[in-house]
Amino acid sequence: MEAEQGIYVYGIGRASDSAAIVIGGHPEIYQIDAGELVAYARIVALSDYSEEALKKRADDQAWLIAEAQQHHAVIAEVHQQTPMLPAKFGSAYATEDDVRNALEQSKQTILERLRTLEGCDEWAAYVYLEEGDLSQVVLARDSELKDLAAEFEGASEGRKYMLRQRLQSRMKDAIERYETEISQQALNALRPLTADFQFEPPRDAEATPEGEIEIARASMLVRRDQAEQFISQAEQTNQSIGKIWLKITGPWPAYSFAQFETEEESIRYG
Amino acid sequence: MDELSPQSRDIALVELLDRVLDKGVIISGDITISVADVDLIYLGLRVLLTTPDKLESQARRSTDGEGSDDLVLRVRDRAGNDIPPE
Repeated sequence: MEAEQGIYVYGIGRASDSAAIVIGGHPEIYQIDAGELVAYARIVALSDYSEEALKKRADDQAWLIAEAQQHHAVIAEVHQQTPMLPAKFGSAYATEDDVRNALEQSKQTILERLRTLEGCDEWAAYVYLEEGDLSQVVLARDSELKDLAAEFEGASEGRKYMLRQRLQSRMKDAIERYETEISQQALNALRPLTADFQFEPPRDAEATPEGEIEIARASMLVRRDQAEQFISQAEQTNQSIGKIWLKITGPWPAYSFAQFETEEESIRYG
Repeated sequence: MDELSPQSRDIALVELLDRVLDKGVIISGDITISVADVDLIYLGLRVLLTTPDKLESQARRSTDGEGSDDLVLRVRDRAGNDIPPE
């Protein structure tokens, strides 16, 4: 018996650009016409994309990673040729009409978003704090904290016991403020060269193998004709700000700038 | 220029998963799985960050020896040099 088929959607583009799009490496990908929009899609066995199937495969990391890589490879190929909104991984529909209906519901928002992506790539920026004690750095910046540390050093054992917690708490706050300030400074140096920009919470509490800890990250939309300037600015920022390392990667498809509140949700939630 | 270390490959794979599994547009409609399921899977995969050896081995299996070109688009080393994929 033939498995029930469904439609896996990779992303959405403009119908006006679609005729010229070549997806050479992936002959199974085709376009679903939906008026002014097209969905880049593939026919899949729906049983692979049901909630149950995905829960079962949640532990099959090799399968998930391979699927994620394939999802990205298709999106990257289209993105190089035309503005495209990447779909969330696992977006499978029962029929082509379900896809068309979904696009129709948010058509104007999607078209507007595609316009903002024209000629742009996404870049990721990460700020890492270099290994080492920041105490001396923040003491040099904060005279009150410096006085408190001096008072602690010169205090009797009993008084030290009283001051220790206060000093530790103040030191922790000062280091956090410093990290925020220096990372924002690094990321904001790139901001004038971006068409869109969003701060994101750092994800990795674990240090890198080099002992660095991620303290900030951002996604940035950069016009292709400004990419070299953007990279050059990142290099300059790295040289001018001590104690941190700014890493940029890209160009990526616009994963971080594809999300929007659907018109239905907007009505529902106001 | 530095060679891309195994650790860098892991970071690039995690970065890819961050984008592919955690981002992208959710077009409402009769989608067959819930977004919450994908999010749970994503969180589960991310836990692998704490076990880099396991993640590297999974990545190698999934790319079937094709290397990491699909994963690493552009990575710069600390001196700002492009680090080419292997």
